[in-house]
Amino acid sequence: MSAVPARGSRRPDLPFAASPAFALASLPVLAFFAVFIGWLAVISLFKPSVFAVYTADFTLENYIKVFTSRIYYTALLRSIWLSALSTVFTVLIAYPIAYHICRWAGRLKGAYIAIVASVFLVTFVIKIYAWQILLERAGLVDRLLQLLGLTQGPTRLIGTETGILIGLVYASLPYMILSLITAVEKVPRDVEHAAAVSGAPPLTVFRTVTLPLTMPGIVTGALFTFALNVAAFIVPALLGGGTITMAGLLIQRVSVGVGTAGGNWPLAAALSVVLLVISALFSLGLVRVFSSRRWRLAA
Amino acid sequence: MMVLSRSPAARAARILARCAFYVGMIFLILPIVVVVISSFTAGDVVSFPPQGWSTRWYGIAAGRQDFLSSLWLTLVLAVVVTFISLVLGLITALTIVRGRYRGRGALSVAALAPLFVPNVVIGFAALPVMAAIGLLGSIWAVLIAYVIIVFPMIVRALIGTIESLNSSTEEAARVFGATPLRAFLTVTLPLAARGIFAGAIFSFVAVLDEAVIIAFIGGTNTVTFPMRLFSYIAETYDPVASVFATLMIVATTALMLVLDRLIGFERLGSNR
Repeated sequence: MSAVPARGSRRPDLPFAASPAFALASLPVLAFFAVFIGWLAVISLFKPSVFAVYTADFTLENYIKVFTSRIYYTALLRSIWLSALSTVFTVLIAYPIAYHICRWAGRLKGAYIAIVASVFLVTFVIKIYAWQILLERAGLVDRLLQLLGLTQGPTRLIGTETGILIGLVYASLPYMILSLITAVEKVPRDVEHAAAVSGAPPLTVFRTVTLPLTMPGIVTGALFTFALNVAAFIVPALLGGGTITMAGLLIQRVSVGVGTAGGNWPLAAALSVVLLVISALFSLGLVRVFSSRRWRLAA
Repeated sequence: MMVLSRSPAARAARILARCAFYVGMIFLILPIVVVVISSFTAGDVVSFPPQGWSTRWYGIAAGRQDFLSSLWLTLVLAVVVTFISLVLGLITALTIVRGRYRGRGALSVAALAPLFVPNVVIGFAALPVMAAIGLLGSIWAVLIAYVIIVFPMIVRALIGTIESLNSSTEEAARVFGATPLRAFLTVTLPLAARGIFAGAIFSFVAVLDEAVIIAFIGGTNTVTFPMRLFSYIAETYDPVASVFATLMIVATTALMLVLDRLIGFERLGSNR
């Protein structure tokens, strides 16, 4: 076998699969992936055509359109804004849940984690379907708002940014909680205890010990949440009420065409490339910021 | 914990945190409960609270061939995608961890790269390629696209599993004359079985979950269950959707219990 070194077939110094030949297993997947993304970039640089998929005329028109045409840049900005906002809310809601489960839940800890994990595994579409039911006019949320006197008369939250935001937060919440549970679990109690014994009040212990040490977990969860939500498709499709678009939804609408007009693949490709760059830059940027400073100690 | 309730500020903070926990848990659980309850309505439209109780929608759902065949298609697809991704992913993860050659680092970056590409971008990127090679709308297009998104998840999960395995037992087997392949299959593979099985479940769930890529390349003949549900609830508002959603919730909860047995809950968060 090629994995065996020439020095002698019984030498155990090279384990199974040490040979570069085994890297070939990834080739079919990576080749398809490279062609997908490569062709996407190529198409985005050509003029759209009414009759064919695209014409062979090189142009930057598609990108210019994405950044100057109101419908496209609004959708992009809304995607960035809503996913940033949803990331903040998700962290704020998830942190007390994760902290309580790790530190104060006692015997119920396993049961709570089981509940979070169950919601995590529920099919994405079903999670958003639930909010379709809840946010409808005369739905549970509407009734609750009226009961609390926050709204007068029936309100339909579907088709509003608030409705989309709720969907985005809900969809990423279980992952964030699980990510934070792992982070809080890693904080050594001795360190918290030492700080407390040295006279630090509980809130100071949390602020100076627990919170910084769980920062890597917050970052991991935030990365995932932002990347997932900036490209959201299902949430705006179901909770956007047909009026509020986000970049992911727009890519699909532009690619299949609206009404009688055919799809504009070059424009959809330009939108995809921009969305991909935003999502990748954000991920890499966050990783760099947090891995370069004091948080490295905690990881 | 021992000194927590000393100052009023700390006490207030703790009460606040506890409230946030209970409110948060209600926010987490309530929507799922609402879906389950809405499937038992006697009314003709989905509403909460339901208009009377009945299981008649379960009878109606049992006759929905479109949903049932979508479910079957999704299960088959999930099995095949998982199998292919596991075989390719296991070999790739092994050579990433154990390889002694240049370019190994580049391979691990390349193998995990699809994780950073949003599904909506992969879905649209697949569209012109699949159209060009004549696979658009076929099960093959979906299969290829799904292996692309599941493969890096499996590689990532298995890199951790393989790194945690001590290779000395495998080396011992080889000292006693086993071939590298045999030593791997009989010694290391069984030790990695839990990680592999957990990876398989994550892959399965990813396929059950996916309704974005399929919206681009699935066409009308290849409608998976999440896609069927997605297009159904985008247009119709009857409790058939709630019935199938409830069945799915039950199924994924069962999967969760299996996962718990396999890897324990503490490790679940670090796995995906």
